[in-house]
Amino acid sequence: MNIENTSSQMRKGILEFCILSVIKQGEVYPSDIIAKMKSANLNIFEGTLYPLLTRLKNAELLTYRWVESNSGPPRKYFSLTDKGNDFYTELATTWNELSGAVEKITQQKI
Amino acid sequence: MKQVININYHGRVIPIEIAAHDLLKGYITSLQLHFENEEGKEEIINDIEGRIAELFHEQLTKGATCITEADVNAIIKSMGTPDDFETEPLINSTQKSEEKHNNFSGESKRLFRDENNKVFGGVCSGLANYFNMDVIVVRVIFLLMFFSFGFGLIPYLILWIAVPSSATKSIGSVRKKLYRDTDEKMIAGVCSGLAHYFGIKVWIVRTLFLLPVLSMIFEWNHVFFNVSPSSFIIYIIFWLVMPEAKTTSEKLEMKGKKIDLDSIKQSIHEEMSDLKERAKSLGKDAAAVAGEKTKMIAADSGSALQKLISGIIKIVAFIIKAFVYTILTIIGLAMFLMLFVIGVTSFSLFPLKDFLVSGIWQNGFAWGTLIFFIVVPIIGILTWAIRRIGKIKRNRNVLRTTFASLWILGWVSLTGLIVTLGKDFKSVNNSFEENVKMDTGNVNKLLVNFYKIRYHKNEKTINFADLINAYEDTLYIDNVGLKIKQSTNDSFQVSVKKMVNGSTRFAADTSASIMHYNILQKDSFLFIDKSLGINKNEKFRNQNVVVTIYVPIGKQIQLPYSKEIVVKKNSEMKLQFWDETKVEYRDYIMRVDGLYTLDGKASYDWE
Repeated sequence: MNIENTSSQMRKGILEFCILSVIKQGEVYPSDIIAKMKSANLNIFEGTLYPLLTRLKNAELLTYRWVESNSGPPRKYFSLTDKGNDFYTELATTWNELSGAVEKITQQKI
Repeated sequence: MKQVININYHGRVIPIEIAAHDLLKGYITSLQLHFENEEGKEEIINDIEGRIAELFHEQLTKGATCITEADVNAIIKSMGTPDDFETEPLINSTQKSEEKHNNFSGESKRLFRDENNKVFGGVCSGLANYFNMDVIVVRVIFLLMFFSFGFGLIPYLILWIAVPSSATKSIGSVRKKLYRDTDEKMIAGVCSGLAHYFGIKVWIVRTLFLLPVLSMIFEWNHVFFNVSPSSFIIYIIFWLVMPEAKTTSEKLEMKGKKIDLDSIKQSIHEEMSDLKERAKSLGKDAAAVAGEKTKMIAADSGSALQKLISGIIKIVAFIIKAFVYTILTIIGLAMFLMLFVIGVTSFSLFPLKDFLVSGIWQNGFAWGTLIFFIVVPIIGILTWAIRRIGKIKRNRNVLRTTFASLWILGWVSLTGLIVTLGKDFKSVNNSFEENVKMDTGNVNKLLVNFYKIRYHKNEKTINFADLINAYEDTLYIDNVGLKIKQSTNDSFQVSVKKMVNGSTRFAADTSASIMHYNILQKDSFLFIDKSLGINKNEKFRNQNVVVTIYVPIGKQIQLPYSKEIVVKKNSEMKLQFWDETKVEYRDYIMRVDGLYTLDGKASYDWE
């Protein structure tokens, strides 16, 4: 068992959930997502964010619109679709159950 | 001094150092390679490039005069290189989405033996995965079947053998692959490819191949050979089946990754400790699961029962399917074996062709029949089976066409052989009974005996169902019939009637005149040839001989008797299928109304 692998597995599980919850708070530009996650001490590469966004969009969980910017070409702003909302709600329930359970168990052990 | 160029990057004019630009291009190419199989690859790259352009712009508005290598490196660091993505969790979800994609596109799930949750071979957990069921249900069904009929064992073993392990998914890429090595070839590189695969010296493989071939060439001078040219056939099959290592990566695959001792040790160690753990935990698990299951079933018996029943139906269907496939495989194998036996038989009988065929045409047809009609399908089926097992699809149509046309050639040869041979059998000779000179003045009992020179059971003799014996340049066929009739006077008489086919009546008559059949009477003994000898000049033209012995009333005759003799209505007995070691002699007496044994039973009817 190596620790890196285990922690990256853990992160993998929650990354989509985190991204969706950032987007749920309002229309965002990808670098905003990075910034928000960074502020919560969750570092991800932009290079991994873009593919993930594309995948979520292709799964019809996200949609985007082009917003004119005052410096240069328009930017993509992402928001949740209805389907994405449902998906998020389900993930949130699961997360709450899980985090509750994990907390209980880890506290028991200590 | 560094050169700076202006580029139009995603709608912005960017001044950039040439070296920095090259770096950027390299980075984008690496991304493109990384996302090669990703759905929406274009869009991802586009987004990333857009973002980079934005960052460039930021840099420039901060007062930079141009984008330097350091800037590009900083950006790459924040975006991440494909290597970074590897360690990043998201790359795993690529696989996940691919799997999902597979399911959506209707491609069927593949059945794997589950190495992670196995007890024996992982068959049950693999099936459980496949049918989306609880593995306990599958295990119970298999156990029930095993204890009630011993029935579960066979499908389990078949599945264990037939279903690939889930480990092959990950291990597969490290494995060596079998390629022909045309760099170090003698003929087609089969031997050196095999040597690479098994990690042995190439001369060992070559010797193994050459040994049987050499002895065959040595034996070829003789009419009879015992060694089948199997290594020839095997070589050809390997040639057809093994792809040539053309590219560098194929050549590397051929030689395989070096397996070091540590990795072997490690894997054995893991396997051992795994087994122990599994054995321990299985007992605990079973108890726990049993408890849990009963609770669950009590709580939710309806749906559980439903699930169980549909699961059982699915599994029963699956087992039936497995059985049908097994039976079909067995039938196929049997047919193939039959073909193989025919092939081997015709190979061992092939030296006899000189006794049958004459002239260039017939010889050519005979060879054509052997090679194209018998050997080609054997090689073809073997090739097909091996390619099927190995899932090789290269050159499929070429092979199919080649085999089909070669086999058609075989049919042409066979037809030609039959037609040309048929001509040689068209006419029959003018046969007549030829009296043998006898001196049996006061013989009261004629003892019929065989010349015993024919059976040479040494290694140079081919015995084919005791029907045909070939010895050096003579072929012996047991085509001799014996008839017993009542003599019209009071002395024994013997006549011989020879029959033979030929292309014309004249040719048949000529053949009959040179046929040699020995018959000799000395005192009370009558020696007759048991079989007809045919040499290579005479050829086999369905020669046969009927010997008629006329026995006077009141006199006795002793005949060879064996259980195989069928007493025929017309009192003719074929001297076929004798086993000389088992022959016993029986005495008969001729009476007015026929032949009787000495204790008074009527023996033969006769005309």
